[in-house]
Amino acid sequence: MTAVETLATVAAGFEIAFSLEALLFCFIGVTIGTFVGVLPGVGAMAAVSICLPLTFYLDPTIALIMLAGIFYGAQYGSSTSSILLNIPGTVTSAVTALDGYPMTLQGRAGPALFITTITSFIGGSLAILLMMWFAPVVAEFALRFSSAEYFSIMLLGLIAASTLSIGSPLKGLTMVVAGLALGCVGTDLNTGWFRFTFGVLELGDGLHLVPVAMGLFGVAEILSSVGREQKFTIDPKSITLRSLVPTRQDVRDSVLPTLRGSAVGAGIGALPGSGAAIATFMAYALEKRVAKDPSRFGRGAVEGVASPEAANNAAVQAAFIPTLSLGIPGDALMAVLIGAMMIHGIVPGPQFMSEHIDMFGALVASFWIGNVLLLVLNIPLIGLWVRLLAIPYHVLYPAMLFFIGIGVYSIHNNVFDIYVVVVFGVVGYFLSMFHYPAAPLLLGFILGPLMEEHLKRTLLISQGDFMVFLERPISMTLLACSALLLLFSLRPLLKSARGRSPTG
Amino acid sequence: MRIRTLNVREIVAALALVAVGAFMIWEASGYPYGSLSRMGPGFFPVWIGIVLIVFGVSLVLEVRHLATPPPVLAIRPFTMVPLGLIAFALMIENAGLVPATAVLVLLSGLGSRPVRPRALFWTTAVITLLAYVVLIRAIGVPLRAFWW
Repeated sequence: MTAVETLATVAAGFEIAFSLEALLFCFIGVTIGTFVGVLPGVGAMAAVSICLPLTFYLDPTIALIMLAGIFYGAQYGSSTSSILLNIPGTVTSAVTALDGYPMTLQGRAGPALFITTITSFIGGSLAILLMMWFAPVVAEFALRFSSAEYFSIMLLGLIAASTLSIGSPLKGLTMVVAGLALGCVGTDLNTGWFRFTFGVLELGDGLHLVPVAMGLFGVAEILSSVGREQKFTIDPKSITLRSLVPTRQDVRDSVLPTLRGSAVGAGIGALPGSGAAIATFMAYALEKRVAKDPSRFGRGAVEGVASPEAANNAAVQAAFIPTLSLGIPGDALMAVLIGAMMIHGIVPGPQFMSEHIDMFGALVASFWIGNVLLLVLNIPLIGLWVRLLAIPYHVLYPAMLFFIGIGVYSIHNNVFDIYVVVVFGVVGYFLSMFHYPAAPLLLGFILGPLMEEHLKRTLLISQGDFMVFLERPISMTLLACSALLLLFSLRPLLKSARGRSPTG
Repeated sequence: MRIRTLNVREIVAALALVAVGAFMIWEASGYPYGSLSRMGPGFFPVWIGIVLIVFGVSLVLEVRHLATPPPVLAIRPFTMVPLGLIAFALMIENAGLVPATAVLVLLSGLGSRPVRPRALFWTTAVITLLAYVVLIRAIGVPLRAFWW
């Protein structure tokens, strides 16, 4: 697709995105997103899972616009509690607290909030541009992919998701494999054989995505947050519109970090398997390295909030590139979005870009509208969101549990799914207790059945010859990348296994 | 080399994953394995189980001497929140949406400390009322409000 065609597609998309219904649900989506982003202990994942059943009654395009709005809206909101309370609203803004909270202590909360909103907007916008140009290119390229390439790229995605994250790469990899194991539950597609169902009828078509995601991310998050409630001491009246205005120096200091952060975020986000959280850490590390005076970081350096916030918004928008063009989720959130699209009967992937190009255009257009709405929601209305932080958690979490319960139940009108939520809530709680990341588990669970299918198909055609993966150049490149990534991230462990004492 | 203490909790967690892998192999070995060119339903799970065991054992090596502080199990939320959801699941189809919601909010609300009876009462009342008005009255979900 040429650039002109892309522009025409997006222009046509604006017609859909500016319809009253689309505008309304885009607004609802970004508002819910900001809401859950601001509140610590409520993630975008839980919000999307809860809203998913509500979208069944909507046109698929509108549903997607709304769910996507929650994703990127949460990135805007999450910096607020990081800056004001030193408690990240979501993981992706944990880095923002490093310099955002010191700014608050210095009485500069206003400029910090203002700058994060603006850099969020810039990061998001640049990534949307990248997505407009890049997603159709990738999709066209991917039309030539056979099963071998799909298997290899999914493998790369899973390895990237588990190793390019915070914490032990080995724990991440183990979680991916555990996720693949979960994906085996249910009827084998080719033979109709029941696998790991243990006579439970409800497991016949496998574990459902939404209850697993809600348990791992919604309930587990509640379980670990209830124990450590904190008293918030913030005076909402102190955040006035006037106090938001940054100094000239602040603005000058933020321009380059914002651009660098956007580049890092867009690059990382566009890779299949790596999410926004790692992008913020990399962006922060980069700023620290290029800074003339690195000692300012951690003591309220404005670069330290500008760059990671640009990065996480850019990453979230760029994550739509592999999601829509290859059908491979960038992170766990995107995985849930893919699940949502499938429930609506749309399979993301190269065919999506050719068959549903109008939908792609509408989605991109809605991203622009949504980002502008977020700018309005987050700057003049910031006082409202700050007030939200006063909602005590002991009121909030029972309400969330209710939404989770009724939401899960109403997808299939099935009580069994609520028990699945409970089980995975407990599992997720234990995982976070031992610092095993839950996101790779979910990714493995979603990609597992697809990978098995592609593996079977490839080896059926090659008559059991594994060399086919290395004979096809694209597949070989992808596998080589996977091997390098694996080797690189497991290097410390291999060293220690050879008898040298580990440093950790 | 000085003797370091073993981190028993982390080792047990990693061994639990090894056990899952072993169980997979044991269970899937009863499924038709097939061949490389025509994989049966047992092929993929068996290999996943093997990889899981390999990673699990490496994890034991990685974490055995970790000096992480012992994790704290918040016992109250850990019991009350799942209990609330299970009660909700048991009641929603028979007892109806209103009692199921009230019990879910009450039970899970007891998970936080200190228990604030008045706040809990009002939280329960408001959420239950909203559930009734929005879901039953406005949207009209196919659920009973009460058992009668």
